[in-house]
Amino acid sequence: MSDLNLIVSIIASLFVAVGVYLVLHRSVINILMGLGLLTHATNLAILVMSGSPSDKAAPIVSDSVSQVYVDPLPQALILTAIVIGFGVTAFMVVFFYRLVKENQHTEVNPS
Amino acid sequence: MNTLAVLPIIFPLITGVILTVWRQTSAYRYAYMILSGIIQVILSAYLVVQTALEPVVVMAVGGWQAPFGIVLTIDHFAALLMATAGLITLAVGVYTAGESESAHPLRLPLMQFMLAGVCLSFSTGDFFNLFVAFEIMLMASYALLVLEYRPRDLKYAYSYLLLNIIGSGLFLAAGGLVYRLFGTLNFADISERLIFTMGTDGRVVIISVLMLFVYGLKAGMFPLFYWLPKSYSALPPAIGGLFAGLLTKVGIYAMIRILNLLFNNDPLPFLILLIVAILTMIGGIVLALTHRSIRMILSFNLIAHIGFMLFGISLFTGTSIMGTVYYMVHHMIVIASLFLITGIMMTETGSDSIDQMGNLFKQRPLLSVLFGLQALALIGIPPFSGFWGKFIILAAGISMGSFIGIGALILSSVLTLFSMIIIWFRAFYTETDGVLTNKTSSLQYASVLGLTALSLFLGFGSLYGTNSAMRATDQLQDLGTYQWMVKQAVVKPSPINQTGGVDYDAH
Repeated sequence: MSDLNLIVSIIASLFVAVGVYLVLHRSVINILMGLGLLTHATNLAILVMSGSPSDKAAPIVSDSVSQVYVDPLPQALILTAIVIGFGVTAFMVVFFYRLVKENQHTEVNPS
Repeated sequence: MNTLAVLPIIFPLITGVILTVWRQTSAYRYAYMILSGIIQVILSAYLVVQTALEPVVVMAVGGWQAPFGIVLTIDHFAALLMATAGLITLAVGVYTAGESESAHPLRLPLMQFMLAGVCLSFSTGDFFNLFVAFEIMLMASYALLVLEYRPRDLKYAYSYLLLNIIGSGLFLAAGGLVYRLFGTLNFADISERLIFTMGTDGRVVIISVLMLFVYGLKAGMFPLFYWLPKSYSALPPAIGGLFAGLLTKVGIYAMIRILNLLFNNDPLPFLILLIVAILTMIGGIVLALTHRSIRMILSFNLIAHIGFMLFGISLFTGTSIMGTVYYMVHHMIVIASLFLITGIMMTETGSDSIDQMGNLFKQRPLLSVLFGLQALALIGIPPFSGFWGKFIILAAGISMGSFIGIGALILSSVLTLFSMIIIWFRAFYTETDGVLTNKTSSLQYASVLGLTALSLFLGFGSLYGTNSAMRATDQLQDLGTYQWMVKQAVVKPSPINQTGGVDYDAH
């Protein structure tokens, strides 16, 4: 595992820790932030899955030189996941907006 | 004819888009929705017949060959579930058309989008695509949930949303791990590569336990079912029936598919499943007995019966999978129709609590008969549909010597009988002063009648049912044919040229 991947892994795990901490709060803003962090942690985790990028070229095929390319598939997966995560986050913002309007305070208390 | 595989996914999407644009509630809109539902059922029924005669129907989307492109694979199991899902959506649609107060105009299109997601998750042959299918299904369900709740129930949606979003994140992370470990996301390809990484690789076990967690969360497995009862029981019964019928079963389906194809050579996931299944069976049904709201009782019954399916999966012999397949199809139909019957009962008596209901047996004999039949099917009294699935799972349990599981299954069945008897005596037999409103229409009865007829057919025509389930199990276990069918499925010539390099000038 290269240095870069190690750093990204540590960042992802930090994101998970902070995300879980925030999601366990009652304030809707904290929960939203926490969900965002959890989503990003997952995306970073997938990024690590494409392997070490050192000594590899960007995946642009050229005829002359044969090179080792970085695996582009995880990046495609991340792109899809970001789009889905964006949609879900937008939905959650609207949902919390309605919840706050209904409850007249910014905390959730599912009981 | 493999292009047919994509139609049950495309068709509800198109219907959904048209119904989104066509907001004005009218009889024509309902007629169009019912017609499209019927066509959807015919399409998936054709796939059921097709897969009964031939091996897996595989469609390589866009003509890209299997491990590189996305494939849709439909075997008999998937086709059966797709047909059942189409039927339930149709029944809920008919029920909605018959409701006296008109539903939110977005209910029908969202139901169609959800059906598209469900069908895609049944038919996908690709790990990432399964995630996308789950997301389509879940997004539609989030929107339906928030639209259909009364404003004061909105807080119940919170736990559903949060847990499912976290589950999706874990699913995605598991997908990343699978890609790193196998270098591919295609089911057939992974199962082929697993043969070469024999033995119990610890990493495979970690991934499979992670998957069990994710799918168990969606299915309402024992420690993870916290979100289910409250969020389902606050829904209007029609949508509650749709959710109970479709969403949890998708989790079970994914579990069977993944364990069967990929992670079936390690005992740990199955041991976890067995313990969790026993706790789910007992815990769910005991909690059902503590509630007085019919929708709550049904939601906890749903959890208990998810436990039966988990028990069937945990044994993982051919017989037990066959029983689970039978039980899944039966349970989708029966639980949806019980929710719809509850809907009729609620419009008649104006209440959800069995303490407020009464007089139904004398004044609504047809409804009582329907409820009685479906309750008997849910309990699993011999000629009815619930019996056969349970019987096969029990037989598999006996042959595997899993007697604690069998005991839990029988105890849970007896307690199911008990909870149905409570509803029967309180809501149907008790004489009260309350007056029934008589606001239900014949369309509502028609949808329930249709589902009841189906469940009766599954019970009395158990020969067809067991044959079909056996066919599905054979196809599940015949991994070689599956892999071969996926490998050779290309619609048009692949863009990989003779020299082995990728020909980017082809287009």
